Amino acid sequence: MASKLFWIGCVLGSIAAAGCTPGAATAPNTHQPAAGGAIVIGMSLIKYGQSSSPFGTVQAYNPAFLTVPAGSTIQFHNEDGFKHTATMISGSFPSANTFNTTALTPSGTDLATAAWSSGDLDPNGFSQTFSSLHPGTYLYGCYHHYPAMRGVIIVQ
Amino acid sequence: MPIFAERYGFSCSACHTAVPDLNAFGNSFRKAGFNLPNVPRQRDFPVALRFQETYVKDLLPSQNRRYNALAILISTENFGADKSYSYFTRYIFGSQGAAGSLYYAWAQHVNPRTGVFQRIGLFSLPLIANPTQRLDTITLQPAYSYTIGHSSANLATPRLGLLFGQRNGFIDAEFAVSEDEYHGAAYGAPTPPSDFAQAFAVPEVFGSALFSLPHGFKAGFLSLRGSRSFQSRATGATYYDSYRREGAQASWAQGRFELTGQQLWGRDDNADGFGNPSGSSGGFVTFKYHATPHSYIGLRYDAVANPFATRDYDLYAVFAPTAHSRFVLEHFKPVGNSSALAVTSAQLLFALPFTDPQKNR
Repeated sequence: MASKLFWIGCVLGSIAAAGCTPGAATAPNTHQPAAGGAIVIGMSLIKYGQSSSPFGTVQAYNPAFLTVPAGSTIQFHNEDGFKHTATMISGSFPSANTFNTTALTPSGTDLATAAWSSGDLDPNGFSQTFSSLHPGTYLYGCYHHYPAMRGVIIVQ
Repeated sequence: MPIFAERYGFSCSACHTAVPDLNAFGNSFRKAGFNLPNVPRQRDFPVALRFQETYVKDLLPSQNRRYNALAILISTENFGADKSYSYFTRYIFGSQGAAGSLYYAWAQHVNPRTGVFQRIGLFSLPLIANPTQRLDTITLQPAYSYTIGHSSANLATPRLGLLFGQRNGFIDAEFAVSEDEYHGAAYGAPTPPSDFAQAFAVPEVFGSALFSLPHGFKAGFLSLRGSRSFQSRATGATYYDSYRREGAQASWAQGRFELTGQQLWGRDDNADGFGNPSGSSGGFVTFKYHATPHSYIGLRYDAVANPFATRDYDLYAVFAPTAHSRFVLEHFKPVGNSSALAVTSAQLLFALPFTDPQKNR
């Protein structure tokens, strides 16, 4: 009896879950790799170590310190088995994490947009593409794992 | 734990949905041996304290305490050139009239490249849902806590021995050979008095495998074999009970939803000491919905026959008032037994020290 109920529960639970749509705050970001040569920045706390940049240490993104010409397109790819974000940081790298939960929702498509974020990227998830139309220095980090995950993009 | 938050400069919420329930990163970090080779360490303070106060609105006839406090001291540290060795201890202070005792005490090595690990000491069996230190509610799964005959051990009882295997993105395969078990008062509940002194007659052998499948599914199985000796303190008479358990386990996680199930089947060849065998079974299905990254509601259905059948629903709501704490409201309702009492309870749990590098959560 118990085993029958177990499997019935599994099936019903799966059907119920499949019929619902998760809310935006933690919805999986299911963008695909951009066609047309977007530069993909890998995200992995496991694979990518620390390196230096003129703006301080950067780590866990690959490349974590990137210079691109204006007009390039950039996309983030989560290579870990758990969630990450790439979320804009204003000014310089703070010593502690100052992100709030708005970082979990995808926002912005241009690096010059205030408070842009990839949103919460599921394992193997790709972010929306970001254009880099305006020269400047753009700092970003992970909502979950800052200060151990942070990077810099310079648009020339 | 505050130990790891301080070590890497993370918030508690990096690893936990609501302490001590782990998210995907927390589980990955645990399986990696509490080690992130690429992340610089900030501060090591290898001691933490967990405190929980539980309020039980509906007392069973055998209970007389409406408020139960429990404190747990945890110490862990990594060592070795690449920090791939670690130890973990968990001491439960006396509660509800029971003596304090060491609940976990193990040392392990985890290969950071392959996920192959070896552990020695007092540890819990690797089950698909944690029934003790990372339990996501107040009441543990009856499928893990039921006992047969005079035996005082169940699947949630920590084992003393060796645990080894491999954990990676495809498989979690673990094997345990246990020589003895934890004999103290688990989580404050005093051990029931018994005329029988009992021990493993031969080392107990456990194996489990959990495969990661596409679309957030995991599925696998477990098996347990052992023999237990019982000696009456009054008469000196001895008997042995050979036992086995087989299990199937599966989980699915997608977005805000989680579904976890376990089904166990068991047989004891001499359950009562008079040569009579006993079959048993138990299982549960848990459905969880994460309303926010740090809160969830859950519904668990339990069914156990050891051999007397019991069934229940466990409905619970959980949220983290702060990154260091958790509040649980639970309603445990037996099914099909009009004389069984439904129990509503609540628990506040928090971890010390209150170090949180991330202030704005």
